[in-house]
Amino acid sequence: ERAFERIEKINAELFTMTYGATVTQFLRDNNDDCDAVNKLLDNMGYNIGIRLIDEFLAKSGATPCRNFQDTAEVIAKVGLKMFLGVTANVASSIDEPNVYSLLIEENPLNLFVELPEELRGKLWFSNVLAGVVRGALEMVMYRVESKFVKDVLRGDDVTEIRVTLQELLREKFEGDDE
Amino acid sequence: MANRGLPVQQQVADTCLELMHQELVDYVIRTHGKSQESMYLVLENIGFTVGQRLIERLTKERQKELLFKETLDYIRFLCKEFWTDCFRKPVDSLKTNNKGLYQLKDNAFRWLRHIAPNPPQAAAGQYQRSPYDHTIFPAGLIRGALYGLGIQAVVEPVLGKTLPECTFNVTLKNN
Repeated sequence: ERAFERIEKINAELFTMTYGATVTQFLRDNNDDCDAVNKLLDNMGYNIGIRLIDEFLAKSGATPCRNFQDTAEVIAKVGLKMFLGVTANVASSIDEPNVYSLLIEENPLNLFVELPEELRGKLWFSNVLAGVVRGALEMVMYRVESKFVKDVLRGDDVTEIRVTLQELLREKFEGDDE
Repeated sequence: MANRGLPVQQQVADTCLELMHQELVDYVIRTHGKSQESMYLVLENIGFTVGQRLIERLTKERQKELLFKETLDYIRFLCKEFWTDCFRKPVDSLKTNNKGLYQLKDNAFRWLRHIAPNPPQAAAGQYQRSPYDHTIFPAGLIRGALYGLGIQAVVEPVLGKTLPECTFNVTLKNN
């Protein structure tokens, strides 16, 4: 909450519309090939995520995460709040410590969006978010797979991003220091 | 006055937009970078669409206030309200020759703050980047907003001597 107040904000509509126009351009350039566009969006998100994490660490004041499950809460309650002004719920199960889902009820990216019939079921409109999560977590040494499994734009009841831990990265030190 | 009336949930962090814009410019350079002309056309067009839609939303609740007589008043509105909504501050100076040319100068243009003034030399055959690339989308945005206000114009960005200063020259059409 406090992090969001401190951060510099702008009109969400400009953001939403710019994103929408970007997706439209991606679709145009790729002849409506949704797989290619999903990939582009994810990649774009990744690039944003690896830089966004700096600002997050500098300004959020979040306590360090002790394990992978902790990151879910921090993304859902602090990260999303700080950057998009919304929060998400976390769904996870004890049996699968390496998987969790972020359930987003209000997604500002969806604000004015309605998918045309032929794209529904193929395009993950907000795929950039999955990329951001992947990029940001990689910078704090969690290599994850992060993907959309549900989206209200497709008629699902909730927007869900599933995050799966793949590898704990270790700092590598190379060279012959003594 | 920055965000008068806008409920908090309708705001997002500025960084998100800034990074997204940089990614967009990057993408367009990668895919349309063969000719600067076509690349700028794409970026300008995206900006135009966004500007047009955005001004529609911004003016919806303020129709009465916005019954201006003079073009200058519309330009002023753009410099103050629209600019603040998009770039968190109003334009620093507005000049006009009273013949249809307006110069909107921003001493610290938001989206140029984190752009390197001298990008590295591009490899042969590659597109040479420039901070100018980052002014095309905003120029389109302004042209779109003006269009939405019923003003047809050409918008040309001019980088200031020291970044992030930037001036947008607005030339009215057939007026």
